[in-house]
This record gives sequence, C-alpha cells and structure tokens, in this order.
Amino acid sequence: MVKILCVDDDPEFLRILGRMLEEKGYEVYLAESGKKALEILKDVSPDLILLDIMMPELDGWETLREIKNTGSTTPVIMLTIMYAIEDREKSFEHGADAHVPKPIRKMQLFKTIEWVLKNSTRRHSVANP
Amino acid sequence: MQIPEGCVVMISGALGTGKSDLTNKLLGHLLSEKSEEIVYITTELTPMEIEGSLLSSGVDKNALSRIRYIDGTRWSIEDYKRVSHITGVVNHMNSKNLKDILASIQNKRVNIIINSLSTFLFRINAKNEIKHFYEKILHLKSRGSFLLFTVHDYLHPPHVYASLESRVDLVIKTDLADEDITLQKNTEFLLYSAAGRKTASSIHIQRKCFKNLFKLDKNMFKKSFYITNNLNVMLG
Repeated sequence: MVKILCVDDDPEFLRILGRMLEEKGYEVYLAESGKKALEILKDVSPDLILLDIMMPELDGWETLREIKNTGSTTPVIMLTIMYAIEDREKSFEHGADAHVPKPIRKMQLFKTIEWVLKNSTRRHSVANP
Repeated sequence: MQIPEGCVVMISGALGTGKSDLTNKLLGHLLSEKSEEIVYITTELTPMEIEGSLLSSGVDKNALSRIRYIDGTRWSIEDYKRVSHITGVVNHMNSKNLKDILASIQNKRVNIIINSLSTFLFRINAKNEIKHFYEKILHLKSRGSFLLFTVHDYLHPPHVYASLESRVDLVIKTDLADEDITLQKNTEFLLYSAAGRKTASSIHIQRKCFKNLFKLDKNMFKKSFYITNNLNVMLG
C-alpha cells in the first residue's frame, strides 16, 4: 500500500485530508508540525509527502530542507496558497516536486499525487536501474 | 478550423481537465487538413486510447497511418501489436532526450504533438532547459511545422510556465467549471461530487470548448492569445 505523510498545523484540515486519502486507499500518516513530521520519518519511509507551508516553528520550506538534508528522495507536494506565485517558486527552489493550491480540489489532488508517484518511480528506476 | 503552418500551441491545465482529449481533437483536424506525417510523442496515452478517440470522432481509419508514435508510456505488447508505425521509444524522461528526438526530425516537414511536455521537464528548474527546447522548436517552426504540446499545472515553477507562454503562438488553458470537489480549511465536509458528475461536467466543458475553438480565426494563431482560464464561462 502506498504510504503518504501529511503535514499541516490545522488539525481539522489534517483530519479531513487524511480521511479523504484513506478512502482512496492510501496508508496515511499525520503530523501537525514539521518537527513531528521529522520524528515520523525516523520510523516510516513514506512514498510521498504532502507538506503545508505556513506552520509555526518549522515552516514548510524549513521542514523540506531538513527532509532533504537526511538524503531523502521521497517526492514532496507542497500545499500552497492559490495565488501565491512567490511561495510556489520558493517551494521548487527548496526541492519540492509539485504543489497543489489551497483550497484543495479533491480530483486535482488525487491526479497530482498519482502523476508524481508514477513519474518519480520512472525517473528513479532510470537513475538506479 | 484552419490550422496555420509554422505555429506553436501550448495547452495547459491541471491534470484531468481534458488536455489530452482536446489534443486528440486537434490531432483529428490535423489529419483531415494536412497531408504531412504527424509525430506524436506520448507519455500519457496508449495508441489504443489515442486511436480509439480519433475513430470515435469520425477520423478516417486510413489517416491513422500518418501518425508516427514515439512511445514514452511503456506500452504493452498488445499496444505494439496494434500500432505498426512506431518511430521510437523513450525510456529516459529528461529534457536531453526530448532535444535529441526533436533534433532527429528537425530536417523533416512534419507536425509534432508532445503530450505531455511536463514528463520531460519534471524536476527541472533551469531556464536554460526551456531556452534550448525552444531553439529546437523555432527551427521546426521555420520549416513550417505545426507543433502542439501539453503542460500540466502544479508540476513546475511559475517561471517555467511564464517562459513557455511567452514563446508560443497560442495558449489554451483548460479547467473544470464547478467547484464541487473543493476541500477548504475549517470546514467539516465540503461538496463532494457524485461519482458521475465530474465526468459529465468535464465532457460538457470540452464539448463547448471544442465547438468554440473551431470557430477561431487563423489570425489568432499569429499572436499570443489566451482563450480563458475557464472555457465554460468565457466560451459557453
């Protein structure tokens, strides 16, 4: 089963997002902070990470940098504000693989997850045959 | 619709908003209007899907033999049996391979479809990649080739989209009309679409879109032209 780690400081949003992904058949791990996400990553190797940007203490970009510093190649999709162009640019500069704007459109989230998972695997297999 | 020579079209939009369907509709027009071969670099659809779509929209079966597929989807053996005119296979999805493909056909007068360019540009953050890609495109364009490529939203930095949009002759943006699939913060449950509704909505938009797109004057291709962010509202 594909494992997805969701990171967002809004517990209600996180709960709904988690339930939505579970209904889709994913194994979901929830973290309400960047710090908690890094702790989970010590024990779990997710196939994908959904990461909010605006979080207290460690924000999304700092969390992403910490994740990359561990040598992780897990694809990361940032959850960005709809019209925040600079946030999107910065997310890619920090190594994000894609972003999905909030408010989230369910179908677009699923499609983006599926596309990133598929294409990350293809590229990974090319790099490490 | 008159499809002009030496024209570059970009179709962009989120995944699942009908870019491939629209591409196939335009491919059908290309086949009926032009006699040249069409190189279809596909990383999204199998030939069964492409040709099924073309045949269902009334394209003559004999015209399909003018499509030269370059496979970036890892087709099944059944797919290979079905299509006899495969030009090449791309196993490594990167911008260098795309440039090599374009270089290999740059001296031929062919029309080219890339669905999707996103697969080749995924995880690429360099402006130079776009520049090099477009240099190849310009060369093909100067030979009178019609080129169409699709780009998925949300997979590239904003500057990549801006760079591509500034260089093409026509940008078509696709989107779904309704917001019934929205999940918002601090809301218990938003509107979940019923199983069939999304599809119905999508087809509805595409039909409207195609109908209106075919009314476009060919002069529109000569300048940068945005149709709309929401085809249903603006063109309906």
